[in-house]
Amino acid sequence: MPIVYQSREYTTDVLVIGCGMGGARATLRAHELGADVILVEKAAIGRAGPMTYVHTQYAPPRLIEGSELYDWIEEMVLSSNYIVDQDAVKMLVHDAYYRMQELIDLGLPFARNADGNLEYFVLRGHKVGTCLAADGRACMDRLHHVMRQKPDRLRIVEKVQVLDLLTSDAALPTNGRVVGAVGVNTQTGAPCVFKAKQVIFNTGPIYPKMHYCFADHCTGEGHAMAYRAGARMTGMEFLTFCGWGIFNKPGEREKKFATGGQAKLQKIGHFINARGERFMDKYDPVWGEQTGLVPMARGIISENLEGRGPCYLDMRQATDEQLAHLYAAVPSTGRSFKEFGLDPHRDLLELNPVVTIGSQSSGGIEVDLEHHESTTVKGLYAVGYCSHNPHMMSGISVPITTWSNIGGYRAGEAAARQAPELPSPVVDSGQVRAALDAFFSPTRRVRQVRPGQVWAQIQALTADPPFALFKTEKRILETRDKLLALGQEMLAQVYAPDIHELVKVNEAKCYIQTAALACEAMAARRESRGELFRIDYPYMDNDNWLKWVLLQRTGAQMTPAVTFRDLPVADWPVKIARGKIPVAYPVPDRFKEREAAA
Amino acid sequence: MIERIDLELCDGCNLCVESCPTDVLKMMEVGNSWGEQTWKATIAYPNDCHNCRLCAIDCHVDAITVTHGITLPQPLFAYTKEVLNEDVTAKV
Repeated sequence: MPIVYQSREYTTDVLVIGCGMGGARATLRAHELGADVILVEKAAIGRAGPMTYVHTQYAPPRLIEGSELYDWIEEMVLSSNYIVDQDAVKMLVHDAYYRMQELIDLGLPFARNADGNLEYFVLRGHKVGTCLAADGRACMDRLHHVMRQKPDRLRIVEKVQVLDLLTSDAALPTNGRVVGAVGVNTQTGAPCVFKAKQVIFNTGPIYPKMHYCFADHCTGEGHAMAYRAGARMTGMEFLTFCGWGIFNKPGEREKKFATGGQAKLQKIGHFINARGERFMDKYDPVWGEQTGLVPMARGIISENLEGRGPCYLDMRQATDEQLAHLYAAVPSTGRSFKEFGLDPHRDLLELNPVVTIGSQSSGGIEVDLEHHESTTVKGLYAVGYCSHNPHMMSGISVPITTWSNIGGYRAGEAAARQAPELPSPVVDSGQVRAALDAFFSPTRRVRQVRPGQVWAQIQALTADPPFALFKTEKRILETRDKLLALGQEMLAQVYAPDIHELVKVNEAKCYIQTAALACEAMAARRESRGELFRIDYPYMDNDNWLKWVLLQRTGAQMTPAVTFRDLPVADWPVKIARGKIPVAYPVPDRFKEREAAA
Repeated sequence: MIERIDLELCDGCNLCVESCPTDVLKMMEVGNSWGEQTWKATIAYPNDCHNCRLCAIDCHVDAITVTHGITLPQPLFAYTKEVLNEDVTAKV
């Protein structure tokens, strides 16, 4: 006998899924233009996603125009390994001024100097681009407050995980349009059905629950839902997360702490190997120790591989003033040092690098910037981390919050303007039932594989050093197959006793689907660029690879069709040198020997 | 990770449960020695704590202790000197 679901139904014009900067801006803009809006969030507003740790937002101090604009675009092109949509960057620089001014007017707590003026400062790795500092959580609290002041036509639904999109033809992938979404309350398990004319995704980045970056709940549900609905994905090959800001407790190596403020640590400390040599100049002759996260992590790993590890952050020369500045900017780092009995003047801090499949800069749902962040699926928009960000930042400095701010505003505006002309959404009850049945099925199993075990498997696969560090076509495809097998076998056996574990199962399912897509795109891009490094193609190829890799689901199968789109570089202001540029990345001799023997 | 919640201080306001992004905390009915029943926050899923400290920041009676020592998922942090020199070269 089939289960009867008592779903709570909501009907609205615009449904915003996920609330970071982009979700809040989309909600406020759509509401301002007269639309009825529902904002749904898996966690709580201001307590979710990267906005809980964001400290800076890209902000030009004035409207950037004329010859100055060229400089602002050029530095982004250079720091993005050339693969950047220059029209998008132009829009970013232009719109950033207005959108940030609006946030300032809304009363977001940006840092000011003693005279009460806003304190603009230049970003790491930039010559001209400036930003403003503010605690992301306090920013979201302010935006939440603003939203709460609008009781009519704006409803906020927290603690609801959205499972799948609902479509007019009741099919995934769809030939019709998105008409809403189905979700489940993460506290009570109560199903919710949202009927909406327009849906905006702001579902954030993707990480494999690594207890780092404060984003274990961001597991790529937006990426996976959009892909299942037939949206085209772009830049997925750059979904590689590299980090190094994890330190051991002296004497207790299993006890670790992760720190933010890595740019600041890079400024005041040196990076040395076990022999006491400073090694970063070898791996990045241009930026040295001021390089981005990706080359930094690779440098540390290479030293470890070649037997000169472990590597340390050496802050013994730092002045008291520098340390005071660090602790003021990133208070948790100071607290961690104290808790662990670490004195930066005395101790070396051992570095723990990590490389896995996750969001560092870009890669996600393709959006049409000429049509206000709309995706290839009708009625679906994407903003922020879950969307494809046409500026690939490689961890040097990430204007993603401002990009999300701009995208949210534009998507909210377009969604609200079109909503009156669209028909009332009609939801197919069979589609709702199918999504809920799939979600709840792990409660009815006997074989006991727990969600935690699935996640451990995911972590082992995606951070497996031969795959993460030395990518070749064979290894990338192997990892994809293993991930898909994990998805089929383990998820078919997984048992979840309560709603908390059910949510983790759905997160694992979405992560696996997104990570498999990332592998697909990594195998398709036959060069090394930015986050993607392949030892079978150890060069950046500007002759053949100034193009995006596009992935789209074509039928009932989950396998994507892979296509390419050239960047119209000839039409853009910043010219890019052609040719192949070697990417310095030492592969240890021992590894090469084994590879040759195999 | 989240170490403990001081039940003497916790007044059952539910703020930490609301603010936890990874759903680590739950409210639970507990009894005291006088036989009264009250609601207190408890750590239901400690392994899912990702150390963001939002619960401790939001707690208005300062009842929550979060320490920086977290046990990170082992497979993800395998690029230490020892592992890379022994396991990896054996694996590849």
